[in-house]
Amino acid sequence: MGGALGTLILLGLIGYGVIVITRRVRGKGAADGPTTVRRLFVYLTGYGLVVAIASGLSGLIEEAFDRSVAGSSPAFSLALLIVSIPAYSGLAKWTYGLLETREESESTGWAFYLTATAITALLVSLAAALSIGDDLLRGDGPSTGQIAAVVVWGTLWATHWWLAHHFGHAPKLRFMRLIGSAIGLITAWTGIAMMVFWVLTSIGDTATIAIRNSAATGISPLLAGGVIWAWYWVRNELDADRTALWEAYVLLLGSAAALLVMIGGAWRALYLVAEWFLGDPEPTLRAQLLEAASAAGLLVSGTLVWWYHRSVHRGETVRTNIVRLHDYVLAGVGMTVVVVALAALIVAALQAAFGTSIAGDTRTNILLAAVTGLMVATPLWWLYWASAQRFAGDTEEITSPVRRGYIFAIFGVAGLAAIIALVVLVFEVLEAAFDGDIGSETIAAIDNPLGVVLATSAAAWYHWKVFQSDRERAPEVETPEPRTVTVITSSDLSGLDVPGVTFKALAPESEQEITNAELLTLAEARPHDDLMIVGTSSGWEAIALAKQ
Amino acid sequence: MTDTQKPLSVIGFIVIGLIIATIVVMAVRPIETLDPQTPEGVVQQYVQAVLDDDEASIEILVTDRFEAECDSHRAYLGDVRVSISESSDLTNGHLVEVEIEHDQGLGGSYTEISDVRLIQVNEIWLIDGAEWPLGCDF
Repeated sequence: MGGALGTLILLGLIGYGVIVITRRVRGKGAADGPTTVRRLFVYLTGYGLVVAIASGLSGLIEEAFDRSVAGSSPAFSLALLIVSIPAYSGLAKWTYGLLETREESESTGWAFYLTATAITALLVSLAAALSIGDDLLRGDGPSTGQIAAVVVWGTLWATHWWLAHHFGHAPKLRFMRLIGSAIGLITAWTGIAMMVFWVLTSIGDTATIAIRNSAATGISPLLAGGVIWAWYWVRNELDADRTALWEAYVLLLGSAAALLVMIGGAWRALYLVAEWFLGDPEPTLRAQLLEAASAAGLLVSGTLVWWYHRSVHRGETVRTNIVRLHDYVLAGVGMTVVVVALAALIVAALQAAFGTSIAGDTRTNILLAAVTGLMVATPLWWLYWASAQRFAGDTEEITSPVRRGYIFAIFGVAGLAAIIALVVLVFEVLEAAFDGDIGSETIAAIDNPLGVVLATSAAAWYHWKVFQSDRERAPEVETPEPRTVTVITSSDLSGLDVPGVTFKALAPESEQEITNAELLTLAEARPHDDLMIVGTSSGWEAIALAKQ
Repeated sequence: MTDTQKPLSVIGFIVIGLIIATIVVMAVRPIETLDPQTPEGVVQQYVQAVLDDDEASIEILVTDRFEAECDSHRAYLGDVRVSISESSDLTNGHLVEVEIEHDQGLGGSYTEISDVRLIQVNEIWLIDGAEWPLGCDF
């Protein structure tokens, strides 16, 4: 039931993705409506059929070799195969003919089919491989079902990788390769964290009388993920063109997410040390060390992944919006932790100042979490905020949607939190006043909202000042008056994108071709006029037309 | 070696080092076999039998009362690390406090304590009661 629901949700999401993508593509005039609908139907059906064939085949192999599966019957697997194989064969034959045209082989629908099938096959065979690895480490024999899954889904993956390589449009398959890289990276990363944890908890362990967690060594995910990552990333993507998608993978997953894991591990480790000496720790040193080993796993694995991706990206000097997003996401996470920690510290200070007790083990641990949080989050915020502020003199930076989004998000969320906390604070004060009972109990009741109001107001105020400063420095944006540049040429002008200017090519049968550079030079020379550009014996000439 | 290959080599060396460290720890980590004539040794045998799903051994290690009343077959352990945190004499037997660390994957774990009570029958220590997940409440 759960599996069927999950499959339905997955198919729904995929269908939605295809619709969104095809709408975007259609908006650019790449395909007409019926073609788009045909591709949507054909490739979505093809994906469903190939998944049904692989499921049926692996199920049939499992049922044939593993008689221990209680109540198993090959009927369902056979039904899947009997229906899906002829349907898929017919569809494949028809599609193969269509793929001979460039328009079809470069279509988003075909790229979607290859991506969805290869990634689904990769995920299923990865899960089965991890299960086999764990069984072997435990000393158990791997199940027939898992071996069948690896063989069948692995073959499906290999077939579609080959199809993508020979019949796919390489630029549209970058997404598939980067998703594969991400799957391999996250799996191997998890394996490294588990290995560090396992080694640290095993060293010096003399108390154990029995164990059954050899699978937790992390060897299986490290090896399986490492192989996938090496294939997708090292072999196919590492030295490929550095597109926005490539940069998003390196900076957002490889750098920002890894840094957050690393910082989370450092925070946890610092907190555990402080808790052991000053707070309310675990009852035994071993239990506390187990917690610390988990933090060390995060710290070490996060550091490795972060360092590697920063090294790969080193040398890139262009500050793209992806680079900005990386910096502002990290600054935002740092700022959020700083504000929460400050609120906790203000509450503690108020309680100390007004004599309300801060005793209690939980309260002490919260205080320690706040102090250690400040210790790791403040440098994180400062590092990336200062990095962003170094570019605050550039118009491109202060008008970028990423910076504006960051400032509005921090200002908005902090402001909203301040208003809600202020409402609670005023309510508590008024209630106490109406009861004629304002005193130390009122202070105790308002300390939490007051802490939140002060910390979030400070954050909101600071970001409002930054926004005002950006607005003062941003130059007036002059909206160009719409105009048309008509060219007598057979050249394709659809790739030109100049704000406010519509380029039209007349006379497609003309033999005169104009380069984009020539056209842009002529258009910029008369920035306010509608133009007619014609080829003469002395070269291209722009004639200003009267405004209609 | 290109700029993109250098960090790859460093990562490769670190990962290989980590794998070697794991294999070494796996190879040298001893699990001491306790004297099977002692309460702690009986508990160790019982836990191992539960991990191995060895019902025949479980039946030998428990009293008839425990077998009948508590249905020792209910005992179940997944991926765990088990240690003895305390062992003390009772007026009519022995109590062994067992610490069970459950692996939750991704390096996460949680620990629970299970008390195991033993009595001597014909000078042999047998388990007469154990808290979940090693048996049932007593």
